[in-house]
Amino acid sequence: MDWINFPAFAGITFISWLSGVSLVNFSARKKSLETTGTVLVIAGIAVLTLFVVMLWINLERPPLRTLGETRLWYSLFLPFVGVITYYRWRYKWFLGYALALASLFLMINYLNPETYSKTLMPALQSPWFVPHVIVYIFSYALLAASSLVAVKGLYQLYSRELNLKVLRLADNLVYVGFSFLTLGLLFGALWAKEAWGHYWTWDPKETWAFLTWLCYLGYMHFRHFQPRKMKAPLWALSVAFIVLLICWFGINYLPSAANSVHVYGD
Amino acid sequence: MVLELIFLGLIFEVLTGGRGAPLLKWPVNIMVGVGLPLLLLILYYRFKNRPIIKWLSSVPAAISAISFFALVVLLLGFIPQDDTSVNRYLRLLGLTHMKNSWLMMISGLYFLVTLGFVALRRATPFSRKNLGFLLNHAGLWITIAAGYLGAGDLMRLNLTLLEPHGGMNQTVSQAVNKRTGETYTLPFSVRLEDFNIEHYNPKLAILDGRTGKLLFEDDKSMPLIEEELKATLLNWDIEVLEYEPEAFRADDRYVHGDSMGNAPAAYVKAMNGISGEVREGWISSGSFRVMYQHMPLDNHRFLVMTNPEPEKYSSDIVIEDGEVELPLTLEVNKPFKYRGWKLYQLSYDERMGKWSRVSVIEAVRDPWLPVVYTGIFLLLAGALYLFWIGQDIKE
Repeated sequence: MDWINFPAFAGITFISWLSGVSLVNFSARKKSLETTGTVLVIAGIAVLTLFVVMLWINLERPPLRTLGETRLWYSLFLPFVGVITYYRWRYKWFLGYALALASLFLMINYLNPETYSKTLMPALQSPWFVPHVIVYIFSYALLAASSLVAVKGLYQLYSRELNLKVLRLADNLVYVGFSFLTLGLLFGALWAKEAWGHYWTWDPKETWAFLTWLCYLGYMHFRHFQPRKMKAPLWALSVAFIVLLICWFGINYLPSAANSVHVYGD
Repeated sequence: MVLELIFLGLIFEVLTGGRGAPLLKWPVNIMVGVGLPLLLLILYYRFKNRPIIKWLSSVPAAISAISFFALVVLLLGFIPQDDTSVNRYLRLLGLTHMKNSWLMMISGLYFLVTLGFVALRRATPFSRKNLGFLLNHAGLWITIAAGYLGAGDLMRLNLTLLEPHGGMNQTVSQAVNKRTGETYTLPFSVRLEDFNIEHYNPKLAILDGRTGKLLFEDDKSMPLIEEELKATLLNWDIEVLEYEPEAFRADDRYVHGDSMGNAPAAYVKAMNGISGEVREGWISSGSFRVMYQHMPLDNHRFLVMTNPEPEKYSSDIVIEDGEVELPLTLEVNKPFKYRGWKLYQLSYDERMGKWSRVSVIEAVRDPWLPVVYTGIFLLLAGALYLFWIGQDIKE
């Protein structure tokens, strides 16, 4: 099982997500339709999980090295966050957005296929590799979700129908996402000490990861300081996500990052 | 407040000629490390009702400190660092060496002052409700302070070891600081018994002769070469008929050999799926001894074998310390700790590849590491706490 079979798996996943979300959103309060929709969404996630598992076995290494591989995990975790959020707070729109974003990432991988290189450089062969990347991707999925909420909030703000609940949801996602972000950063530091001799070297990826961390830290403190202000935190959340994206993808194009130990794969 | 501090940082930098803030070393750093928390403690208890202390331990102060620090890190993230070709005015302002610039030092100090005061405010009187808050804030304080103060005592040295040769076995205790070029004598010495390296098989790829770049199409696949491999690259169906990991060239073919410097070689057959053209021939990644060989597919495209990538490498070494002889193996990701030093497998002679007789070991001494780790573990605990709080807010 490798990337050649990706279009088939991604296609099945996308179709089950699309039909699932349509059923959930147009169920017109019919419980059975809603349940069928949810099951379809979960089935889509299961198909994608199967692909990741088979890819892992086929590559004989964790598929976490290249950007395309991290996008794949992202497409897996984001719907997961979407389903949990939907299950917990009944936000139908949110499930739709999460699945749309995940589908976008599947699409990027489809248009921009990857190597199925089996090689893994010695420094990456570490027990820290899997927890470090998984925790990060999970955090990115949560923080992306918080930014979706923020964009929705901004839309509501300008059409003057904003309710504070939206920011509460964003806060929940940021708190959980930030705790995972912290774990990812610290796991990375502990791993770096074992692999590269020092826990922090201001490698460009480290610099940007720290910057991302500071942005969300700033957001949380601002929310604490002025819980009634809406506009600034909503914008801040949207901007923080841009920093996160630079850290994740943009780093490969920055002149200041030419010698990063984190630029591999692509 | 922040604007004044930025200004102050830039002025200091210019006054010192753009050489950055001094790196604090033993015993100054330990004095600051003990003195700063004490000073914060005394200031807080003596003057906690003064407006300035009240402000410094407030949320807006925290936000300003986070923003200031973020700004400095943002500059660090955008401006190429330690690059001599960069504008000299940027250098004079410290923007090309942010890591040890005055701006970094002042923003860090401001961060620590506000963080310290706010932690003290929440810590007294202590209540269990504030546990998560304290784990996060004290953990961050300790991590950043110890990381900054410890940088001056950090030693990262390279030891270049040679495999035994002709009855000679070199014992090395001289190590070089790769940043400054200075030599340092370790309190023990090391000798190399054996350097081991394993490679992945080389990969199959198509090279565009006009651009010198590897070409990919739909699946961007670069399969590892092995006997009987069948793969499709671009429009070519490729079959590996013979694969020899250690070969040298004899006339127009490659044959197995046991001598040093032999390279992997493969006999391949390629058929164009559209035109039906067939090409056959040898390819080899080459080595310092064997010529590189590609197979032309058309005017400008060539089938090539990439250089094998290392899968793992390790050194069997012996530490000699007075009467003690300690044999051990160093591998990437598996360092060894000895008398306050941590030894790492760093590199080898890449040109010689698997015949490298050289192994470079890194010796690292970081006396502040336990303090940094204390901070990191508090932060890890704090992050888990935050995770639970995040759960609670849902209710």
